Amino acid sequence: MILLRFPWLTLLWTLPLVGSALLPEVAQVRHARRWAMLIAAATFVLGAVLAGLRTFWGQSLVEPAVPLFAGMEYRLFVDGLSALTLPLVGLITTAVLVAGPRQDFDHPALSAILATAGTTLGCFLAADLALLTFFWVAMLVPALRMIARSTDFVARRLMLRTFGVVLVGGALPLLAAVLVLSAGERPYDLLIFAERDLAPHQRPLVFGLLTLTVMIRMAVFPFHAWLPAFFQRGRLGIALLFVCTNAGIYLLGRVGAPIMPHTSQLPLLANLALISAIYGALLALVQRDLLRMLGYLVVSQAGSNIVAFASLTEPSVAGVLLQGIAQGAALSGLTLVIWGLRARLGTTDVLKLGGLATPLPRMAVAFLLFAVGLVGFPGTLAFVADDLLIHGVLEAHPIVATLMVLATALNGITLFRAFTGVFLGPPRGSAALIQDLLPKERWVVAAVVASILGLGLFPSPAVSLREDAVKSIVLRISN
Amino acid sequence: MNTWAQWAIVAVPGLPTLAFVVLGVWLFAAKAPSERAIARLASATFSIAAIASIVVVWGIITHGERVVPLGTWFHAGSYHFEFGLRVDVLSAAMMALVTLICGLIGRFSVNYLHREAGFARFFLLLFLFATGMLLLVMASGIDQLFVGWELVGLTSALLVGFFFDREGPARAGVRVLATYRIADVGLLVGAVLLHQYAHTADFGQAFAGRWPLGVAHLTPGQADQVALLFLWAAMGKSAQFPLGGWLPHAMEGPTPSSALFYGALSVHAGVYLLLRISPILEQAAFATYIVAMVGLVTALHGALVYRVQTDAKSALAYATVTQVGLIVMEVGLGFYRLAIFHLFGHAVLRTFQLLRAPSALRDALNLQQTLGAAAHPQSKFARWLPPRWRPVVYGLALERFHLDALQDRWLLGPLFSLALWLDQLEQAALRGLVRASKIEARHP
Repeated sequence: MILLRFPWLTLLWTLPLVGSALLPEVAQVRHARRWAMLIAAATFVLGAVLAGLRTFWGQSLVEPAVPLFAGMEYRLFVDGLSALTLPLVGLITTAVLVAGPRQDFDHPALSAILATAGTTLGCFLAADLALLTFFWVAMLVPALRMIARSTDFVARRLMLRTFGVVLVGGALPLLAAVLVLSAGERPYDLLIFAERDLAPHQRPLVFGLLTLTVMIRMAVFPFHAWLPAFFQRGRLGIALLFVCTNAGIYLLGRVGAPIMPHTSQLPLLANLALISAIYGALLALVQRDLLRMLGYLVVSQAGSNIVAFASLTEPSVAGVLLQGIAQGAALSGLTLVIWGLRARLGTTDVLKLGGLATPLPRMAVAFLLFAVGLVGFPGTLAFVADDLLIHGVLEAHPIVATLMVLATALNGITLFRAFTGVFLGPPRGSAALIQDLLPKERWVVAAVVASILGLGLFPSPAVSLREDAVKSIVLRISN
Repeated sequence: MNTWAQWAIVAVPGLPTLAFVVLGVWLFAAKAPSERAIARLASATFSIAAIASIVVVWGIITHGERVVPLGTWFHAGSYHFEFGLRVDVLSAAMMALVTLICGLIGRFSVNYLHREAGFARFFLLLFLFATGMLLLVMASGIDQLFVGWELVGLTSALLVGFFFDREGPARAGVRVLATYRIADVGLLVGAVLLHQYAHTADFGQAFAGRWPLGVAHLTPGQADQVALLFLWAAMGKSAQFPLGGWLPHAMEGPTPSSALFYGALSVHAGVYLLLRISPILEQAAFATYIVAMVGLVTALHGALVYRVQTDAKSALAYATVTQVGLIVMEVGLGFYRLAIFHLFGHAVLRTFQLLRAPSALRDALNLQQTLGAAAHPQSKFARWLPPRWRPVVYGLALERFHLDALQDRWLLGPLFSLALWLDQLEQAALRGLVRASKIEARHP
């Protein structure tokens, strides 16, 4: 019983944050990185145990509320909607710290990654909208600090101006929504959010503000420019935590769905998201830089996910939630491989690379596996997610679904072109002495591949874990 | 149903899957196994699979068609992805063909690829291809067919790029995969629409009655929609006009894979799809007209281009296009049983011809030495054309009717131009946002 009363959820988000604060005390970077890995691994294990408990117990895990100020409460919980994200954050953080190139990790970088992981977890654990907003804003701070440390003046300015949109533009509407909702008793409690009696004019206003936040955070056209720039010039570890957790969809499902005024408000979001899906796919097709290409692929896939969510059918919403996990894992693996290439060859320009399958055969296989995992090839989790998603969207909008499938097809072509450009063909330049995947990288690749294929071949537990959450979202909106 | 018969049905696609997993894990975890070990694994896999398929075919002859449900893969709301293996006249014929030809190609490749750097990789992809092809032909529903279809597509593109240290195969691989992906949109959307209209993805429930006499539970309009979408998918996979430009490029792969994919099996996957949905075609008058026309135009195009090819593999590629076009036309005209016989005969003959292609030059020289000038057959085909048309048709055939150039100019060119223009626009906007020129001037 004592074990059950222990604040495990608080421990989950504070563990990486405390680690982040204490890392500068460790003298050598080598040791600091080991500590960071240990903390990330512990976070992953704890997240996995909590998600497992939620699965087997079948009920939400809730920590008692502690009143703070102005109606805000410190209260954490885990339900089907957030359960799988907890181990995913731990997995991505561990993978980045273990397999990321050594030269990219100094004390501030290690601290920033752990701090981003901690605040991201806080965001997904919060049972109070104001608390969630606090974590939402806090999540951006480590990234901004790292950008401010950049020595490249143009890159720093570009990042500050594009990423600044996310910080200010993305957080202000959410803060405004919190202010609008401030009246009444326990105004931010997400456990009873659906039962809140909002004034008729409040619902569209709050939902509109939330939609704007989601669009900026998920890099929906025309708010997308920060994401490719962040991938190309920002810190990749932080970029992965930003993108792979699908916080925007979570906000839409957790807060947006219960207060959605009318489904007729969704077409604007869905139309922009559809444009985003096609626009991202088109621009990814012509990118020379692999990381920028990944950025546009994420823009395209995020667009498809929002379109599917806006379709509001049970399969499409289940597909979107599953897609978050599938794309998170595959994108992490792919980014780590490209990061490894950059560390070895000093470039991610496809025109300067080529014929690397001979010196780097394992890297080539890993790239291909993650690429097929990202575009939904049979046997991977993304296939299951895509299948659900397309069935759901087609039920509601056949033409939209066809355009989405076309965007996915373009993304597949883009990734295969990148694979052939980098790994096949005659070698460009001397690459004979570069080393293939190191043992530590191989372990990470094997773990991520195992998770993608394992969940892809046996997806039922992952789908059923979120069944209740999906049903409640669709039911609330249809009511 | 007898347990042994069920096991035999499951074993046919199960064995190549198992072989793929064993070899894949082995390659990733340790060094590549010896050629002998791989050859034994391949011959054991395909021999047992072939025996199992004979047992299954015997079971079909004696007991009629069978379905082995393997359960629900996943579900959400009312949507369920059911997995099962269906063996009827159509799938039994294709299953036997797949196991037979995969076994033959496997045996041939042991010698042909001896001491080749990618020996293990070839067999890994062969196992994956066999798995995909068997899942495709034995699928109990359209969703499962899509799984096999995708596996076949990816392995095909990877085997085209088998000799990856050259530029040509890598580019050809991208062209093949790009055509497949664009065509696959039709299959995916068609599959979901069929699911929506018939309220099931299972062939047995969607089509009442035995193949090919079944009746689809669709209105004529719905049947036309679904059939045209499936035709689009089949045009990509079976290299039908105007999507067939990838086929000669695909011959960059090793000879055994060319025989397997573009002579025997993969190129007929589109035909199989059309045959499988024959109950829909029966209700889709407009779509069947289009199917027959596509087949006819493809056959004419293939026949003309075939006659001016100067290398054996390209000539065989266009001969294949011609025959597959004729088979598609037969499907469009409703001659389903004839189409199966044609498909079977063509697959076997073309596999033989493609496997013999490396020796074709030597054979031709021997023939020339023996027969002299008589070795060059004189074409009577040209006499059918008016004299002033002959050079025009010859020129067009020589350029393969400019299909690749037209696709590049009217489809890929505008697409890439648009994407590049958008990219430049965005880059300019970003540079304006950070006032890059001023900063660069201040901080050179």
